[in-house]
Amino acid sequence: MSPFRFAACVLAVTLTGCDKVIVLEDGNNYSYSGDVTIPAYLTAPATDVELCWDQVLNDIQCHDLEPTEDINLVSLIRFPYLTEEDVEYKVSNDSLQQVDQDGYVELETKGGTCASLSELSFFGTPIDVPNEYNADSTYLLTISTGTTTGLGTRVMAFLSPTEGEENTAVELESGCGVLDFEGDIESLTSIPVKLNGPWVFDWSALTVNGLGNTLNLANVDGLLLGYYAGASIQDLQEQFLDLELIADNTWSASLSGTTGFDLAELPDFTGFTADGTWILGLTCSTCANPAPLFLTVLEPSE
Amino acid sequence: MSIALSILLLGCKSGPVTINDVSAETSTQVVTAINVSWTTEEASSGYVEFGLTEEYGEQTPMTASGTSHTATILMPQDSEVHYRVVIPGEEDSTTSDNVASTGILPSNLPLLTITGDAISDQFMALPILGSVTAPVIIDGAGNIRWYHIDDRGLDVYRALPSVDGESVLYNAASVSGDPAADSMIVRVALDGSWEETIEIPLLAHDFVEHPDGTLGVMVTEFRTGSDEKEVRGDAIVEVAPDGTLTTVWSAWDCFDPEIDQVDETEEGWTFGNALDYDPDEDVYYQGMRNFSSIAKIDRATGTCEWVFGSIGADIEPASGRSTFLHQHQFQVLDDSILIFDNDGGLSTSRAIEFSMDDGAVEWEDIWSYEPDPSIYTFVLGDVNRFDNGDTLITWSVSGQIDRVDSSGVPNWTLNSALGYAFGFNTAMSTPYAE
Repeated sequence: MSPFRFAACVLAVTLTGCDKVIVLEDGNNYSYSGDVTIPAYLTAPATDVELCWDQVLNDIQCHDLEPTEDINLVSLIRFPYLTEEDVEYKVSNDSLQQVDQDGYVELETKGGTCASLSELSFFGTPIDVPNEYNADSTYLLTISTGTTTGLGTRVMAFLSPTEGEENTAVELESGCGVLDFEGDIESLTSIPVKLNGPWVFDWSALTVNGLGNTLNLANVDGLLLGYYAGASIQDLQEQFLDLELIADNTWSASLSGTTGFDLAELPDFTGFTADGTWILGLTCSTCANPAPLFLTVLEPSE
Repeated sequence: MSIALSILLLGCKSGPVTINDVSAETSTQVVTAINVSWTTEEASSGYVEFGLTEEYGEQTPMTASGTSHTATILMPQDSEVHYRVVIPGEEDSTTSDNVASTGILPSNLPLLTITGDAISDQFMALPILGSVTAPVIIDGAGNIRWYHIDDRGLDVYRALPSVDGESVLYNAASVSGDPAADSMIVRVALDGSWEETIEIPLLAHDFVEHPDGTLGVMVTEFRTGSDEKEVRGDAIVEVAPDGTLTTVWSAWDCFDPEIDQVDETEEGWTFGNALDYDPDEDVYYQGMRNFSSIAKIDRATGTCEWVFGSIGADIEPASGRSTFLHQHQFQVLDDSILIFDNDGGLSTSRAIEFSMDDGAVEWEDIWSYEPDPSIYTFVLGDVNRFDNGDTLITWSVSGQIDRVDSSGVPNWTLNSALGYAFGFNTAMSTPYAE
């Protein structure tokens, strides 16, 4: 028994008994599949390129954004051995490794909406465009909210330096459409919960994420509880990347280093109602794929 | 979680040793660390055997002589850990088996994957850089056994278990652009319960700890050149256990900016980037990136016994054969020197070894390893040779570590997820100082 399951059990025993801990299992988890299709912009090779993102009005999850406020970091990653298709697969599979890249440069936008490729740098060393931007490699451009490397990606695009191409200006488009995922929330085993608690959840028994890949428990860094007054399971299934946006009410918590949580600790959460649909999700902000790691349906009752 | 028990042990030839008040508590600061405490009625020294089964397999360092003891177990996250206390004697005194648990790692530490079989006696102390800055200790299965997330906004290049076995040391510094005025050596307890800092301005890439606890640290040194321009060189400063700082070497002791000129001056003149210390000879070895050279420095006099490489060198790689360029870490072996060569290969980085022939003015390359496909590591990088002839190669910014045999065949590889690089790597056979 993990110490946090143990801790959750101790807490539950204090309340009502250890059997009241709600243990999440793989059968409770949703599943999803699909593709990532990242747009490619052909440019001249070994030539500086003007990048603009003022027309980026929504992200890869189709959430609205304001370019001057929400886009804080522009990053370019070079992959020497991966094709654009390889990168798309690894993004969807969340399996990109550091060794896959051999170059990384970035720029803090500071509210700007355009920059030259040559302005991007790393540790003070700018990209050497004539020598380091060429047709031999794959280049993934990401624009992000926040300035922490690797976090907050909103939109992705390939820059494709191509022999014979003369284009030196890229106007990035919105991100909606990059993710083509289909989720299955109907097939999972929903979880009964008491209207008035206790609501101590333990996910230490989970082994796979919604994609069917091995779940690293340490990746779980967010919990989302959503209430949908008039939405059916099928409605939610079609919009599983937007669950936070379409909810009538949401409660969330940041997590780190734990496999358990008591919903009573959620700010402003006073209890379940028997109407509507309730969704519980576990999320990962450091994963390339924004889909929740775990998603299930809760069934409140007396 | 605390398990208390008291066990009377009989049968030791030196008399029975009573081990009392055994308890275990998982650290809240380092959830992979478990403090095991016990008392004895008479002064004794002991250790804790631990492992995932009652077979144990690992042990903590011996505690100091006394009647009240604490030893820290380091194990992978989310583990049930078996342990027992051992008081060595003519016949060891031991407690019965006990069980404690580790927690779940913080979510911003990366998942590390290995290819090849887990190696039970291989541990590494190194910083993780990129999406998080965290000195860690990793085992041969790719598990993080110890960690400390540093949020100072500086980089960390070296992590080192302290010689007293009670803490981990690391340097919080910046070597890109101007060196940091607020750099420091940080000492963190194995259980994370305390942290001490030694503020040393302008720290550079590397540091060492002597057997007596003295620290030898690389710092950036500025002097005014003959043209009145500022010259950026390096120095080695020692921090004695009582806190006294002494400069024991300066780049100007062995080199002259007017004579030993470099083409690349963006990062200064010598740009020292690697430091080692040999207590048997009482010498430092310092690597200098812009010189593509490594110097052997007498600690007492500050004189350079030899300089191997390019600029400022009195020993060069054999002409017509492989050389090295912009190297980072190195390891001086009995008759050879192993070097992480960042730029000397053909569009790739590599590990390369040169024989060290006494009296010769050229040293010949005798071994090298380049991965397929190639990996280019533009900064950092490390090499460590094991007793069995295997070599551990840390492709720092590429987030990969390879262990290759003497014929150059990889038998173990560790990778990090995108966004996580590594600093310099200290190889060990236990998670504690050796």
